[in-house]
Amino acid sequence: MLKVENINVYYERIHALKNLSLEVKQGEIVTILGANGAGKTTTLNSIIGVTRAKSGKISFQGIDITTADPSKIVEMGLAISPEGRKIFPKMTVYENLEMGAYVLNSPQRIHDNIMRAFNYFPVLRERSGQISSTLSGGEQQMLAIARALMANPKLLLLDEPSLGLAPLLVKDIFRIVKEINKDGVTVMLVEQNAKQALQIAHRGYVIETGRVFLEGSREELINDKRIIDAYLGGK
Amino acid sequence: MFFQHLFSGIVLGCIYTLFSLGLTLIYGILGLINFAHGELYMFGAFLAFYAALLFSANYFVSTVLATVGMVVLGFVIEKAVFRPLRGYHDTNIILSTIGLSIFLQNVGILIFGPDPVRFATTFADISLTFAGITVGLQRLIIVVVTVILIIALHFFSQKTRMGKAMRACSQDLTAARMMGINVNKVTAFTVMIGAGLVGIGGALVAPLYLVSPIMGIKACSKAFAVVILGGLGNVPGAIMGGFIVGIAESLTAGMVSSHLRDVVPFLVLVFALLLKPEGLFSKHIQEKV
Ligand SMILES: Nc1ncnc2c1ncn2[C@@H]1O[C@H](COP(=O)(O)OP(=O)(O)OP(=O)(O)O)[C@@H](O)[C@H]1O
Ligand SMILES: [Mg+2]
Repeated sequence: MLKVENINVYYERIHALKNLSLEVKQGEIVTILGANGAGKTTTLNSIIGVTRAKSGKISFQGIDITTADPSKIVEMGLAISPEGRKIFPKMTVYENLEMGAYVLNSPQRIHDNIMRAFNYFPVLRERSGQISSTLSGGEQQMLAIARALMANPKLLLLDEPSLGLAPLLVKDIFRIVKEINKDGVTVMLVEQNAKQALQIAHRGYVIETGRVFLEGSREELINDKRIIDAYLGGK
Repeated sequence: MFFQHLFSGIVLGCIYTLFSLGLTLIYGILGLINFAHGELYMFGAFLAFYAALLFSANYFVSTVLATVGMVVLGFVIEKAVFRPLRGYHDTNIILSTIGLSIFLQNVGILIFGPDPVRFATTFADISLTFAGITVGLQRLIIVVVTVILIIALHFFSQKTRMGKAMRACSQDLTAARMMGINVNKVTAFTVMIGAGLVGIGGALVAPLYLVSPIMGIKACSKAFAVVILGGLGNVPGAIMGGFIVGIAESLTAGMVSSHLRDVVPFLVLVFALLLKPEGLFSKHIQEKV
């Protein structure tokens, strides 16, 4: 479904991604693990099109999107819940959801999707008229995911949805991600919380300093000594 | 006397508001300070003047024609000047919009001539008197039109898809791109609206004052005081700031000394910055972890 082939991404002189390749198949949850600064966010941002690869190729459902405008990419069925949530702070919860559906034109579909988002995240229904900056951190995270779902994505990119949340809430979020996946949305999940991520993922990649360092199925990764030592806190 | 000056202040506040709204909208979304905004004001006045002259159109028709012309000019400027500047260092952008200002002034001199012109309308001299206050008809028109435009802008930004996209872009441009919002379109729209508003401002004052290619310079420096007072990028702030500066200026000029007229906006600004450096009407939004 998504194919990233040998992309190189630079920030000024920093070589953030080095010949990075990965693949996501329809229906999967693929997790991307890695330490701080490994290049996880850069990978997702390059896929959605707000960061540009200098070389290499990114294709989605067989179509080259390496240099496509984000608006086209979102229209094709990709959506992101970005690092740091990036909700629109002065807009209400409802308006944030509307912005997530910007590429849709039918008011009926937008309305249906908002109802669906409220079903996944009931707390947002109660907060629908509230200014988003006044939401709690956990509620903001839910809003960020709900907003990404608004465009009816085929592939949902999630950048550290568990960051800064209490353990109970993390569990909740991961349960909902799994549910979203069951409902037919393919998921690419960037996480530092490897333990939780590997519980719901089918496959995973480990990135280190801009390169794919390891890849494998859930079982392979869970039992890999390097993963256990570095990401699962030893055993 | 006080109410007479207060009314003049409100009229002045309307002009500052129409001027500043565009400045602040453009800053909020493009992140650039348009030093050529005064020249757009000047073009609005001249377009109205020439529309009336060339097509012998009445004042309302010529104002509408001028506005349409300004929206087109805004479109051209965004495409030809602002868009290529995107991503460059602030200094380059500031110098470029100053350059644009000088360029447009000279285009003005070339097309319209260096001498000021008088835009005579049939009702510029009509005034009404009630409760001891004399209200010029043209000034009344300015207030009515400004109020209508403020309400329209509010409705546009709260209720329409493009208006909401504009707000989203001003709050978080990257997030807006990630949502698939076509930022180029939003940017073009913003400059077109800004140019339209300041152009209407120019067309509205044209019958009151002399129209000349350098009329934008002083107006622009006062408008900077207004938008900084209101908080750069803050739309309600620009409106409040416009009226505060306009009224303060008029009252001081009328009740204290008319020599102080041009000093007032900057005095207000200095005091406001001492008290609240982020702009009077900016609320700091706290980031949640
Ligand atoms: N805008 C930027 N300008 C310069 N360097 C950047 C920028 N964004 C990221 N980098 C650098 O690129 C590298 C990869 O960063 P990235 O944000 O992709 O890492 P990450 O894996 O998401 O880390 P984290 O887990 O901390 O979010 C880092 O060395 C980072 O310092
Ligand atoms: Mg990151």
